[in-house]
Amino acid sequence: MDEKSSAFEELVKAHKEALYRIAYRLTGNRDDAEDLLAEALMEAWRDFEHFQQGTEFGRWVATIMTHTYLDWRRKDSHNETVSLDELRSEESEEPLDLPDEHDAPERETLRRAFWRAAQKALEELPAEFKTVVVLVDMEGLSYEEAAKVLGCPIGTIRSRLHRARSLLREKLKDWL
Amino acid sequence: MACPQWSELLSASLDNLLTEEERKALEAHLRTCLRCQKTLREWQTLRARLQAMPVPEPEPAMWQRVFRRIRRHTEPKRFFSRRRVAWWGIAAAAVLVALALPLWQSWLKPSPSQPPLPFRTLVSYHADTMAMAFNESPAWHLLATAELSEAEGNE
Repeated sequence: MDEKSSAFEELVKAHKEALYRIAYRLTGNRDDAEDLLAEALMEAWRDFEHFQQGTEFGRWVATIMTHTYLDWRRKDSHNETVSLDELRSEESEEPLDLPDEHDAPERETLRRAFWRAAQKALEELPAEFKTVVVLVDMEGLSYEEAAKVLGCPIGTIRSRLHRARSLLREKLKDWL
Repeated sequence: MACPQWSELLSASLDNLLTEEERKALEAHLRTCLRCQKTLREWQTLRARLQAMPVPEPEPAMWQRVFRRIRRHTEPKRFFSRRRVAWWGIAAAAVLVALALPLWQSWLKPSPSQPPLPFRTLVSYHADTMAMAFNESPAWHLLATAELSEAEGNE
């Protein structure tokens, strides 16, 4: 392996947990997260010549990954995949009774049911709204950072986030 | 549902992105608007719950697979890579078969100018040829000479 390849691989290894987390949050399942990661990293490799030392590598790849994800959604090829994780977790689905405060398994069941509902609600959001929610609300990026990742003005981030939160609140009102 | 004119400010207040003026105006509104108070509380709950959504660990082999896919792109292409040698081998074998097949067929088939002889004709042809060859062979001469001298002796 030459110097450039090993430098690239070292950077990927140093950021792999954060990158996987974003990929999973965007796709909602492990199989698509793996595909998204691999595609984004290969794209990053092709453009590695333009990666400037001093730039945050994780943020740079996250930018590529977010755009790759938006391309996928535009092509609609990965939009209707069935989540294996979701299928696996469906076995534990329970009616949505209010949990007893001391009943830990019941609370856990409800938490899982909420996660499934939230994942479904996120999937149903327009891709541009979902990416903003993932970046800002779930990953804790500032508006400015999200604007850099998505390549749009801060005002757009603010209005998209407002629309996305309103839609999510509407979809998940029974859980709030 | 929050008041439409306050809704976006309410959302931005979650991220502490209001100017001092906006913040004061929103606080004054919130003191009197139960709907906006409720919306703000629900958005806070929603964000906390979204942040708490777990990300399951990837499969143990996932990173190996991802790195393998990356290396296929990052490693310089070798001319004699195993895959390339295998493909060239298959291609060469296909060409050989394609060339050998007509030769093999022509060897098996008689040429149209010499139609196949019936079996009996073939046998008699070979018998005659062998007889001629035997008659002309030194062995035949030896045998004939021996028989002649034996006959002369008898006389």
